[in-house]
Amino acid sequence: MRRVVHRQRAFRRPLTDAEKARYLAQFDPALTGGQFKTGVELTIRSLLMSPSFLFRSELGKDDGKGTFTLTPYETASALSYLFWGTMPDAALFASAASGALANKSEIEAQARRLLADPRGRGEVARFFYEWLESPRAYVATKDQVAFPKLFATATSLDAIRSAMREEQDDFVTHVVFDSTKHFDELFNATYTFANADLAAYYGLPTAGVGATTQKVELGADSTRGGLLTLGMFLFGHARTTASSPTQRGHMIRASLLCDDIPPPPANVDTATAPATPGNTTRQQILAVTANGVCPTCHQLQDPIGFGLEGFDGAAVARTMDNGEAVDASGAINGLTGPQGEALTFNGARQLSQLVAANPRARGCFTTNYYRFARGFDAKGVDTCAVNKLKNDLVGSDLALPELFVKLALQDSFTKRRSAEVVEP
Amino acid sequence: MKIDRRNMLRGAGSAALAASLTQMFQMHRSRAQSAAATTKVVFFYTPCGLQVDLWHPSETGKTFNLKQLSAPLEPHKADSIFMDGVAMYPLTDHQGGSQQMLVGDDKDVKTMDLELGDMLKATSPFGSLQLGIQCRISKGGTPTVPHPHFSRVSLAEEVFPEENPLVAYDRVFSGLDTGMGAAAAALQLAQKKSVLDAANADLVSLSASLPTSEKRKIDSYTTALRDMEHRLSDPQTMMACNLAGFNPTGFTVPQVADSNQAAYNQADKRPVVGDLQMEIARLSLACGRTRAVTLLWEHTNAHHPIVGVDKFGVHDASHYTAPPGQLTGNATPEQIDAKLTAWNAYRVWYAQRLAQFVQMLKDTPDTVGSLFDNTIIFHCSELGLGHRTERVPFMFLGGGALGFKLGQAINFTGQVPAYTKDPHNGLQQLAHSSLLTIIANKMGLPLKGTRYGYSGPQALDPMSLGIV
Repeated sequence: MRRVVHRQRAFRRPLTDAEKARYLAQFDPALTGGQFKTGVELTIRSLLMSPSFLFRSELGKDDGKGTFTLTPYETASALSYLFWGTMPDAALFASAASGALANKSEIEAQARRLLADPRGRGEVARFFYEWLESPRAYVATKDQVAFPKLFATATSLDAIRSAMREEQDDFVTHVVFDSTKHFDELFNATYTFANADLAAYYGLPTAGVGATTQKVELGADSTRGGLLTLGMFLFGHARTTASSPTQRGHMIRASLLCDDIPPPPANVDTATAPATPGNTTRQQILAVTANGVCPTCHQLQDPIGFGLEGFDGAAVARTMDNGEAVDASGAINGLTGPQGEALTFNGARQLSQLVAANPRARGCFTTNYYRFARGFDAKGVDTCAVNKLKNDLVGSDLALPELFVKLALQDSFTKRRSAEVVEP
Repeated sequence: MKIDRRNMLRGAGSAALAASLTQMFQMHRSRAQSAAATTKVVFFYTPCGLQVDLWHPSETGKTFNLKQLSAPLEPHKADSIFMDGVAMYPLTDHQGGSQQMLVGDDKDVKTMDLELGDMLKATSPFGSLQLGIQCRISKGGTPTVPHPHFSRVSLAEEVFPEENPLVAYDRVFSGLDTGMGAAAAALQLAQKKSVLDAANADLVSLSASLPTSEKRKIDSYTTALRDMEHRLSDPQTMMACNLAGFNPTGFTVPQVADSNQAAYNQADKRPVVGDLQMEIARLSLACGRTRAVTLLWEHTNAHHPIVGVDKFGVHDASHYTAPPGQLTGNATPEQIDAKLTAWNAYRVWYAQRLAQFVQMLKDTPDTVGSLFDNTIIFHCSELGLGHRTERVPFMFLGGGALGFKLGQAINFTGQVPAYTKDPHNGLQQLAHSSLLTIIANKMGLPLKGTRYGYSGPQALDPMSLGIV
């Protein structure tokens, strides 16, 4: 049992001598009645109740300058939870034990190792899953009459959603780890990932597509391609019976371009009237938002969402909506191109190209990854850290894995400041 | 500019771990108990609404007749207040309704059961107790339900109810005289103290390294340890309490890797799990372990069937215009009839459970009168008319000693001012928050401003509604 108590996994660091003595005391025969098993149980209960198990320490060592530097073990946890979402492995513990993690070169080496591991791919996929608000696809209710393909069998809906999740995870990790690794491919890819069921559901060619998810080329004339046309994105940001240019446009404006759009006034009925024959979703939206204060905000989001009208509320490509031809033209109002030109487009492909090329989108991506990595919105000195990363992604078109590693190499990753320190 | 020394401590575990810890915080609260008869409350949630005209009495006043769905409560009609014309404001659909029943609005950050618990922990070892009957299992028996359903500490932090009745029993009654013998009880107490001492020592060591700005991050943890410590040293802990006869069928929970597959989550075990959780609630109140219990029967997406009723669960049955197993789409007339029959069978089953619980409290003596006399039972579901949050089956049972005017039916429809803004614009039904205000008043919970109350034009005096 002494070996168990001496292990470092529970606290993600070696136990102090005082802690070892404390836990070994749980084997006192007065407590266990001489039962070894009881001693093990009490020790485990004690370990699991300890604040050192329940909280991740980032206390650091006082530098004497108002800053605190994480210990190697704390750095190991910071790295493993960032790139794997779980505790350090033996190699990382060994690196911490040797003190090597006090050096940035070792931090970089470990960061690259963690990212290259399958668990690193999983955590990157999780970032995209959260950034794109993908859980919405699981709670979105879809109407059986409007989307009969989803209900072809009792398990169709679950199977399609599951395939969409694989599509997204495989797509983003392919871009980040296997392909160009660059930001623009996230939007401009001419391929997706699908299994035979999803390919058939999307109306893609199914020849050569098997039961497992694989890369599927879309062709130059396909409206599908990139993050904005992933199934989970289109499916989750849509209504029960129809698409939603407002939801999709708001998502792009707020989460991909980091613009704040206020919620609708409290006395506005946001329920859209049932579709009437001869009116496309676009026409209905335009009709109900044309007056009063509505256009003020809607013109910032709906014209973006119109670009995805080539897809219905269940992520299937379409050319007709409610009996009328789809109009997928739109604009990113309020922003201009490098020459001051208006950002107008026609269809998802052109919309994706505009987003990919916009510096604001790259900055927003960086901001969101920083939030994901650090668990808070950057402010104060942390704003500088985010801005440095933004410059790398916007100015140098840094490969995405390099961006992730750079974050771990910033001083702010291993240093903490005291509340008593006053910033100049 | 002050810079927070942030991120020195982070939650180390997964969401499940955090939830478990939170639950521990809520479950382990300890203070001495008053010897006098105390007021108590039980929030009794049943899922997915009902056909309102088959529940609410047509008559108002003291002479009224129960309907098909409320008929199981006939033996307790004289001890009940049926209330028609109450809306679950501000919801328009039932997602999150089992949480909304405990708050008046989003402004109410903490649900009333936990708010009461914070106050009551001064007089009972567990400020409040959250018990669930298959309330976290979702369709297919795998994921946790996606919507807010549970008591909440904040808009971002929920307290998961304890679903395993054997674990709940052990937590609530551990340390009491359970007939294990003095020596065994002393050893168990010593073990608990030893575990707690180790955690305390770790906390002291950690606290020495923490700046003031960081200490608040472990406030809840520190409070939980202090409460546990108090409970272990409290004379009340060793109070004799008649726990004989618990778990008469010998229900067991064999260890499985996936808790969703645990015995307490099996559909055919729902009756016995329900019986045990209700018994724990009764014993907790009777033994002074707590004064506020939340009993959640499933959740708003309840997919687990009751054996013998149908195979899709009450949520599916409540979507009766859709085909079997579907929530949308057009069912045939025969399918609609079958779903309505199943829905009604579910609702009768829940009403039978409520009646059973009432009888259990009636049969339990309290310091003065019965447990039922001193306990407010607040029943609700989240839906009423036509899958909307109108005419929700709120009702009070018990609390006769607290001034509740039992044995009547009230209909508030058209009797209160209309809402003037969405989502209930124009509707003349009582906001359920008025009922929460009554509970707060009777439990002695001080309310500031509009806490748990409706701040719109329906600024009624809840104490003048004829309920108390």
